[in-house]
Amino acid sequence: MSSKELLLSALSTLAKVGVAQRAYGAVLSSGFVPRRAFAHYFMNKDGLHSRAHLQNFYSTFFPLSLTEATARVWLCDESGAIIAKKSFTVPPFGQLYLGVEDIVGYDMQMEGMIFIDFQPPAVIRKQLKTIPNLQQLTVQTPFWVSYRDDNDNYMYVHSIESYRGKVWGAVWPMSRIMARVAPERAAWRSWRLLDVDLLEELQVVVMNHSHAPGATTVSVVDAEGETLWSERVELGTRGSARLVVPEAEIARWKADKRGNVRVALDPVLTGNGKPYVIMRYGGGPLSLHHG
Amino acid sequence: MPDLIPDYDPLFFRPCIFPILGELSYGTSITINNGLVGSKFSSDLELSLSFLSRSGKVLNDPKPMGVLKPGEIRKIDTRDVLKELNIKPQGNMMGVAHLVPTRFAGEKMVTVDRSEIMANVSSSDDFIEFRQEPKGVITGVAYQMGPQNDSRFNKTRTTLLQAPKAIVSDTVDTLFCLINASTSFDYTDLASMEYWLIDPNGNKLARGRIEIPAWTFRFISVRQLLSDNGLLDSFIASGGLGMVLGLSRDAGLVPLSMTRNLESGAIACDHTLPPMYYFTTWGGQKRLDTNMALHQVVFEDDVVEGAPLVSA
Repeated sequence: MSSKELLLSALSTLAKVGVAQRAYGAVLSSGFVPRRAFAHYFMNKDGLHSRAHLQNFYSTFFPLSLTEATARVWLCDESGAIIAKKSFTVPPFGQLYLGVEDIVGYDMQMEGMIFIDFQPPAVIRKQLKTIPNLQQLTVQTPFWVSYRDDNDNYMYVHSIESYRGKVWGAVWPMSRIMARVAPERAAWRSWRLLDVDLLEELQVVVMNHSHAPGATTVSVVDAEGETLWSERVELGTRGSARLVVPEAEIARWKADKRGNVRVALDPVLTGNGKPYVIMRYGGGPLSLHHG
Repeated sequence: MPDLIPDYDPLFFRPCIFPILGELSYGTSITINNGLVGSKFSSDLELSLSFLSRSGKVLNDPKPMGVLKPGEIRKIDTRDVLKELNIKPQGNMMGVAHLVPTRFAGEKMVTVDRSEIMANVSSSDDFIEFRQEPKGVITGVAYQMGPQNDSRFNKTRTTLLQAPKAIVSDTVDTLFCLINASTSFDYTDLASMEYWLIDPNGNKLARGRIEIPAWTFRFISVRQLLSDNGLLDSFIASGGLGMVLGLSRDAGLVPLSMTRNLESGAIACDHTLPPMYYFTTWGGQKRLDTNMALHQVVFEDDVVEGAPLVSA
């Protein structure tokens, strides 16, 4: 048994002990509530420009304690390496709109994961105990990322998955345990059917939100489930890959009158680590959605 | 709340409720699914479609269009269905795809198991697609649709909209589509939402109020709000970015944001996020108390006489 497994086993046992439970309840009541940072794909490359959109949501949930709060932003490259970390102050009801220059300091060509931890100010942290079911509470930091081309054609998505490799707010060893939980990795297929007849361009963005490296097969399948195209990807923690489906493949699907196709991953690298899909139809602007 | 709910209209067992953007000249396709696979609640679901006029009037009797087995998926272009039904698209309409367990097919009212409904809702992720083929615009949003505005499912009827996605430029507007629906076509409650456009520094810029009749959707246009308040140029000059903060205290609304390029027709489309995305156990009395406090802090101060009532 590894030292990590020993630690997990010991804590699992402790968690069943009433004294430990009461002690942990007191810790939570003091404001040490686990907090997870949502993560997104961010790109400033190939004619697309990303911007992170975040509001001071502590104002809307604690409107009688209006106060500024601090957002800590991490920007990674495709390998998952952190290329910039920066903090920003957000006034009550204020918002942050961050392009790559705001985070890195210059117009860097890049793509990769961005994650943001939004720290509750002390006055808010003391009030977290007023939220129901405190033992089960996790604070999360959802935000949006928009993507626009040079003609102001916009796409955006909300956060669907947090960066699982780090937990803030909680006391050790809880934060450590939560950040090391084995990721759920199951086969996944999109519930969206794409029209082959009009499709001109298809890209699939895969990210590894977990602390552990992983490998997945990205596929496009037809309505009957037959695999039309696939590519194997290996990603380290926080790694990302944008796969461009060859135009010749799309032409072949059209010639074969495939009708509708779906994107699939086997497996997703975390529970809700679905891909982002970028498409162009019939000479129009790009569109993007989460899988 | 009891586990079994009698007198439930099975048409709303697992509905997909979606806008049809006729006034903006987009067609709507939907990809729907029977996503509950390998569960004790998995069952074959019969598909049918209803359409509603801009005023919320039901325009057709839903007829069976086939059965989706667990794991099956189907894409429907509602323009084709409207044509088959001889319904002329007029303005902004709504559509409802009904997915009904075959054991309930044809029944007017049934007793449903709350767990079964929620299991089906949570495994769904219908994709609503807005299309302008000549321009190559096909975009959309995926969402789940649980029972709305039904006291048997929701103790409270409130909606908090906080969306830092109010993007406006010379060629871009952001619309917030607010859907007022329920679990019966007999639902008639008018919904309302008060809202402020707030700048990145947290300053209130312009205020509005909107009413949404039952079984309709209505738009808040940020560009129109700014124009009405003489703020369009200054907002664009200062970056063209802000947040709409809205509160409904009488309805559970489904808000969708649509950032639209007025020239190309491209739309960024997404839903907003409910409070449980931020605090995973948010709800109950805490939610009610907070909404009351938020209303006092944001909407009762700075009362604007004659604030424009948006009813477009």
